[in-house]
Amino acid sequence: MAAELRRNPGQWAAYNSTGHCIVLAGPGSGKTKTLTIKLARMLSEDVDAPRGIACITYNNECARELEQRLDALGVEPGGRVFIGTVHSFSLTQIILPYAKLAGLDLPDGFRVATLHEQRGALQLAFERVIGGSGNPNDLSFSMGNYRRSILNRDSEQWRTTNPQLAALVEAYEEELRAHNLIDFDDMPLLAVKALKNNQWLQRAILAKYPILFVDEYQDLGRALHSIVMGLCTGIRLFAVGDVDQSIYGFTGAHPDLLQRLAEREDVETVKLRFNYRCGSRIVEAAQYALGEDRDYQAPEGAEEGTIFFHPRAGAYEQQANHLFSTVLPAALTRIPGVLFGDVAVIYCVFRSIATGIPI
Amino acid sequence: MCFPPFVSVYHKRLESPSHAEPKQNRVGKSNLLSALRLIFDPTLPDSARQLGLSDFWDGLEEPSADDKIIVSIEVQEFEEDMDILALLTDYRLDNDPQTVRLTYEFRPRADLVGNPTTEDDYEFVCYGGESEAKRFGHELRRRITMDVLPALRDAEGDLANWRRSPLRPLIENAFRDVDREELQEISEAIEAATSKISEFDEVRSLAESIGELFAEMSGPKQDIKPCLGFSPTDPARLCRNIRLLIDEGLRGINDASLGSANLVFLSLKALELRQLIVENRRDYTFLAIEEPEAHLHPHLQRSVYRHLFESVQEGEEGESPLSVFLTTHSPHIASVAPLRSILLLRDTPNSGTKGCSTASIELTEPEEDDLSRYLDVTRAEMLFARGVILVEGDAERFLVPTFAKTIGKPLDFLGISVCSVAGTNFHPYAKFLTGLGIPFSIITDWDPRQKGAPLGYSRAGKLIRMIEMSQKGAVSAKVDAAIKNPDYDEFCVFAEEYGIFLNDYTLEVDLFKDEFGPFIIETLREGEFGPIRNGWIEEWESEPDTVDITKLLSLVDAIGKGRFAQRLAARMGELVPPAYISQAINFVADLV
Repeated sequence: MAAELRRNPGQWAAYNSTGHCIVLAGPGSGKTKTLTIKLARMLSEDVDAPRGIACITYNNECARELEQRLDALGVEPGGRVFIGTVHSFSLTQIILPYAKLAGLDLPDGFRVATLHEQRGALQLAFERVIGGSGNPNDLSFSMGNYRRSILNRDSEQWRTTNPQLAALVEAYEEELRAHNLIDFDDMPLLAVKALKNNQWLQRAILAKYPILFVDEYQDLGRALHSIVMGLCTGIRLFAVGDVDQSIYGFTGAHPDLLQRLAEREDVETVKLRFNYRCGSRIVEAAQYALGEDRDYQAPEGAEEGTIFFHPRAGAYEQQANHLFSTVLPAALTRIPGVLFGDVAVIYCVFRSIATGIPI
Repeated sequence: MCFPPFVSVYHKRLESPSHAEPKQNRVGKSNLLSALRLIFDPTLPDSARQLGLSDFWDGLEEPSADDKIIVSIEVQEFEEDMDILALLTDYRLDNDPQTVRLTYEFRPRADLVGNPTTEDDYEFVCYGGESEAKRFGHELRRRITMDVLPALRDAEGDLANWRRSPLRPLIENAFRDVDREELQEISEAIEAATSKISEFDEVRSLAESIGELFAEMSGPKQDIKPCLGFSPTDPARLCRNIRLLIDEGLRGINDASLGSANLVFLSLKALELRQLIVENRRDYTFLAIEEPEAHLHPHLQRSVYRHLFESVQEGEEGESPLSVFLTTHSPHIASVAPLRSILLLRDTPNSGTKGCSTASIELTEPEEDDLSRYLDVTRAEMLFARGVILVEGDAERFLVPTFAKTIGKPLDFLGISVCSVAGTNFHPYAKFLTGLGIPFSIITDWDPRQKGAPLGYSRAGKLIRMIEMSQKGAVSAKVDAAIKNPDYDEFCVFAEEYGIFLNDYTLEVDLFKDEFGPFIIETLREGEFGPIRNGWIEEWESEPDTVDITKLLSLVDAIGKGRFAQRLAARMGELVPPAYISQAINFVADLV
């Protein structure tokens, strides 16, 4: 397997990295493959039992995919290897084992709230803090964002940026606790708190997982970033991500965190320049569209790919009409078996163009 | 018994009478090891972890639904080694991150209604910290492991049996990297030697007759084709035929003495452990050796175990990942054990076995050094005694056992030792015995002086203070006043409550005044002194009241206190001892 990485200088450099390593990689660049092979290597060469490796992914689907890929390399999860989301890492590795000891003030026998219970708690918090006839669920999104982006509750920033949201979050968490509950957003926050307040816990995590892998770093938010940057010094980091690919900005992900990490001096940053998924011309065109030169290339001997230009002036409605009446049907006939649902449309202004179109 | 550096507290929980401990024999040394094995021994199958009703304490009438057997180990200082930290970190106590607890619990099944009646009504769990959800099992035991070398093991038999031999893992390991082709050559050489052997007509005909007879008896299908040779010649099996030889290869180990075989066994085991640790297959090992004194003569006991203790204390890189537990009756081993690593198990009348550890006794450094020097082989006997009488010197040491016999309290029979502190510094020994919970009394001289308070007065006062501090943590005003009481008679009566018994002068003088005069005169005569000193003896014999204390003691010293006492003891017959000595004997005899 490793031999396959040798042909790609970026992948090979990442595979041979010896310290912290950040792999910046565009789509189709083989980053997950690089990550899994490197993980298997480190598990056999760099970490001896009983210590292990934690691999954090954005969601459970990514975790499953990684598990399958690692399984093919003979690495079984469980025991020395943790594969899972930042939420499950926080819950199973920090909150559950150390809830009492780390001073998290969680009620005995707490559990994770259902959506219904979260709404109930929000309703009660809303009545206490804001009141009136508004719909508390309208605030749920911005409350969550506020909670995820300002981690230090003792800070000026937390209190003053939006005092009402700050109070709402605090009331909401109180209501949850009163019912023996925590919610999903609580998990990484509680983990950060536990680590921040307990030196011994940092050392314990380092003992168990001297190496931390992170996939899709750009989508993982501030809590994980603060675990990585400050709290667990000594842990060797191998992170993979793409600042251009952050599709979860609305949930509190900050692609700039990855950029900053990559700029640190003690970090070896590797770029995967080859795009194995698209033709060379498409790769080129994508960088024009992005407006930034990422130095991405298709590997030698790759197909060129075909780009069709349909210059169209006129209003938004006319463009949309043309797209759905002419461009899309033509594209679908060119590649048999592709459905509407497989097609992405990128438009230069954020605005839904799909209104009224059955997909 | 040696405590591992990172296990600083060991307890079998006995907080309430309903917590019983497994107890199978008199004091429970093997019990203690069995309890540890429940937690740490990976070779113990789960069927053995499922205990039985007979494992409950005998003092318990009938186990009820509330009775459980709980074995808990608390571990501290586990954060240094990252491997150990990774293994243990989840099992910390809820209110103390610096302590890890591992618990084995045998109890009535959770779904059981009513009282348990059969062994099937019980289940066991092994968990860490304070939550049963944190189970531990083989993963932990594989890396933090307990090895037990049982008492009276058949070292010779084990060495002879390839599967059980401690030599096997070592040889297999050594042969892993040996060149196959070279092995093949050896194997061919053996084959050649074997065929040479069978070239002798006598040998060949013997082999043939064995073969024929076997074939006749077994029939052609079962024929295993026996023949004669030195060893099987399959290169892969060659290493199994390697034997440990002694006397530079002249003899096999089964010709060695039992002691040597045991010693060889122990060395091989220690080597294997070292290898496992170096290869990172283990992070910590508890090596338990039951009654290691078996088959070893005293000098070997001391040298072998001193070496073992020292190698445990000084690991090559910092702390050694090995702890040795020895259960022993041998004062020889106790005398070389580090002072702070002794755990004493004592039978108590009502609450089963109690353990007292020397690790928790507060001793100053000079006191500790003093005790370490003091606990030589004869005095280490103190640790095995049910009670101890501390005395100043050899004189008392020879006389007290004789007196005890006279008053019907034979000391050996009662398990009481008389220990001389060779002087008057009783302090560290009294502290040590108080800490271990061994009943003791002190016989000491009043030692009056020309000026100032008698030496015995302040000596006893200090001892009382120390005993109060050790037992109650403070000295009350009442006790303080009693210690300062200027009425010497009242003071002496008070001191007796603490087991401190004082005379009026010094031993010999008190004896002289207490009807032992004639025997002392007789013994002094054996000194064959010159005319002047003989004159004193004559005078004291006719007028006992004229005895001069200083002169009497100078004669005793000239003979030698110990020798004098030995001779005196031999002739004094059934004479009742002075009251303070009888009381000191009875004080301890009543407590054992």
